[in-house]
Amino acid sequence: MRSPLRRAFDVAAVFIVALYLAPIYWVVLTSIKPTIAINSAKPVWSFEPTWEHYREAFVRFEFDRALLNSAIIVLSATFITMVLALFSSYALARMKIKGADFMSLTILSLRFMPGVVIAMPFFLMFQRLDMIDTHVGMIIIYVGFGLPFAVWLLRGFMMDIPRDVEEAARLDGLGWISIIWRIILPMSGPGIAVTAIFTFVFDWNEFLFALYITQATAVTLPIQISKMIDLYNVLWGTISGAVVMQLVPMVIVVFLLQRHMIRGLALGAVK
Amino acid sequence: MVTDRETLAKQALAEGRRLRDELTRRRMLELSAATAAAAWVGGNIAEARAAGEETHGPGWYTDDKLTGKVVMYTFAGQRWGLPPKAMLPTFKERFPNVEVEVVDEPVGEAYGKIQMRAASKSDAFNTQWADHNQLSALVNIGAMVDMDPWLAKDPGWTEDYFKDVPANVTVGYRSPQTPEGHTYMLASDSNAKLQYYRKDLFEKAGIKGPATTFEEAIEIAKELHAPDRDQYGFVTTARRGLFAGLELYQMVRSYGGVWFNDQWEPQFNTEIGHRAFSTLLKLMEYRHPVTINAADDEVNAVLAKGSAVFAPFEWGTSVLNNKDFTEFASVFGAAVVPKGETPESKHEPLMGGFGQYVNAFAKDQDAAFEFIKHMNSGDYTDSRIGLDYVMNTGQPARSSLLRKYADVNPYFIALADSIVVCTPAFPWIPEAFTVAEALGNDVVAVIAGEKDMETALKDIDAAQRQIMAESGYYD
Repeated sequence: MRSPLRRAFDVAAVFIVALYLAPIYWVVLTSIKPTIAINSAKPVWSFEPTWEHYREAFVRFEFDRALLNSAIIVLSATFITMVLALFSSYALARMKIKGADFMSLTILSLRFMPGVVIAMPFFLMFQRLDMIDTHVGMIIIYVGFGLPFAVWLLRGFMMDIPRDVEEAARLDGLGWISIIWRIILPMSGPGIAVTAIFTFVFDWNEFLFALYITQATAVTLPIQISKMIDLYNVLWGTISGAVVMQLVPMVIVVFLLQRHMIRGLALGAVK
Repeated sequence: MVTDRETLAKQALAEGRRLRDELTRRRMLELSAATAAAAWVGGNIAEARAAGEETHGPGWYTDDKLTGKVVMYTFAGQRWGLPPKAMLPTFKERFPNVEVEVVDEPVGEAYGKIQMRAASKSDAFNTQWADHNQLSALVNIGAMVDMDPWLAKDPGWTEDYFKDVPANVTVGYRSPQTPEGHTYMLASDSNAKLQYYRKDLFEKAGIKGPATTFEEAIEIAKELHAPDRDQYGFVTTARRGLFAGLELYQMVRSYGGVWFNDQWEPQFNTEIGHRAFSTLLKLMEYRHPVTINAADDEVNAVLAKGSAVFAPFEWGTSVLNNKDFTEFASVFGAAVVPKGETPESKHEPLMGGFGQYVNAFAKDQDAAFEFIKHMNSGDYTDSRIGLDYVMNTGQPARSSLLRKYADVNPYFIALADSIVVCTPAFPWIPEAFTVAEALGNDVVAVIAGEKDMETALKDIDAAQRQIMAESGYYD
């Protein structure tokens, strides 16, 4: 039988979870409320649900196109970031490189700057290169901006892998690439999962660079959603519908990698 | 709820039915235009084109030799995002070999992007929408093309345009911004501060509205103020910074004051400034709680909910007459903003609105100008243009269109009356937004009780003077 203290903790846990889920509940509810009910003076709890806001998101705001753009850009950027980060972080964690710590810090320092400071140079460079409003341009930016964080995070996980395992592998005749592929990759699964999730979520929600670099062809979800905010009127229903749809891929990714993620976070905790 | 597209089609057809009741020649032409718009929004472009033959005005011409690609940047959403796209079918009839792409972007970030694109000499677009308050900064960096040579080629159209769009609007789009200046933008869109009020509540309370003076406005706000019933007598966009700055400036103008005198000395710590600020503070006693954090969408939301019932100087918008947005759509009245009580006071609403310019760094400038001109046309060219503009949530600058389509948007009459007496919302200088931000910060400090009015007015003038000094106005 549970002790009263444990029960109190359970109740508190349920309360906290409910508190965190409340905005999501509100968004889902708003997404199926008629506009007149959303703007009603008193909260409306009883209404006829409508899918109109979802339809509006697709018909008027070309949500499908933005969804596809986001999927192409974010999945590509996450994959490339992870591949590059894996090799870089391994090199910084294991190889005898002079000034590895300083180099790691320098790489991370790229993230110290506010995005808006580098958005303008990116815009000018990409304009010269004719890469404004292209998927490739956005992928380059997301890889460039996501890589330092991914390298830094993965390096920490790599450093926790016992050196003995690698040395044994080396004695068996494996080279660097084979060690990474056969030893490091499987052993740092949780770390890779955590890093991939963070990279994916960052890119999926990123607004500033997308705002400056995209125009029509490569517009991503956050930009398309922000178009639903009129100067005189916020289309709360349409925004809520769009946000619900935007959440789905993230929820799927997090659920798929959940097991690894918990292990990965725990690994970081004892480090 | 129906979609925008369906609503527009219904509105267009309703307009057609209304016009059918009066079968004069003129009405027949208008009926054709309504049918054309309905057909277009319903996807039947062929029908719209057939109707077009009866809707041409003397300014109609076509040119299949004109070629090129027009990329127009505009703001997403109603009023700016939809109208240019609605222009495409009729434009294509006239210029079949010009390709047009309308790109919309989030309005909240648009000002910065306009400036950035222009400053970087981007050639990725050849026309974009901009605020008349940005004109001097954009002209300074050579981003705009003088439109006078193009306008001179079509004197009939030019005369029609300048006769229809009030001179105090068009002057904002000239450089220098004086009647003698050259035209750098055409203004298809207009706006002004309007007085929004609830006709039903006025009637119930025996108020003969709308308010003519701010003294009356204070009495009305007091009369309607019942916070225990979640009914507030006054609301305005007094968010800290730019928004709040414009609220005080609206009052100053209504009392006959100015921002700067001829020597660029700020004029807030004056008798008029004191009177204007005192009146604003009296109104603030009846303010809705959202006021101090509010921009337009927050104000419209509480008006729509019925929690705020009187907005004597709020930017013009169609949302309050939209039955899908508010249950009070049919009882919202709109009028010109009140004036002060002193002899020098006058009805002088602040001016909003946007125009379009041709990008000096891009190619296909002739095609870009033709698209801008087409969008700025009225019945002189083709009656479908104005109809399409209005039915697609546009808020025209042409007085003729505002009055013609008052049945579609009842506030158009108040807007038409306002834009003939409106005044620039900011001084037309490159530092416009900086001085407005500084002004607004002090205004909110007083409303929030952080400063007293006397100190704030002194601080306002000092801050304004410092900005102007740093920008070299006193050398």
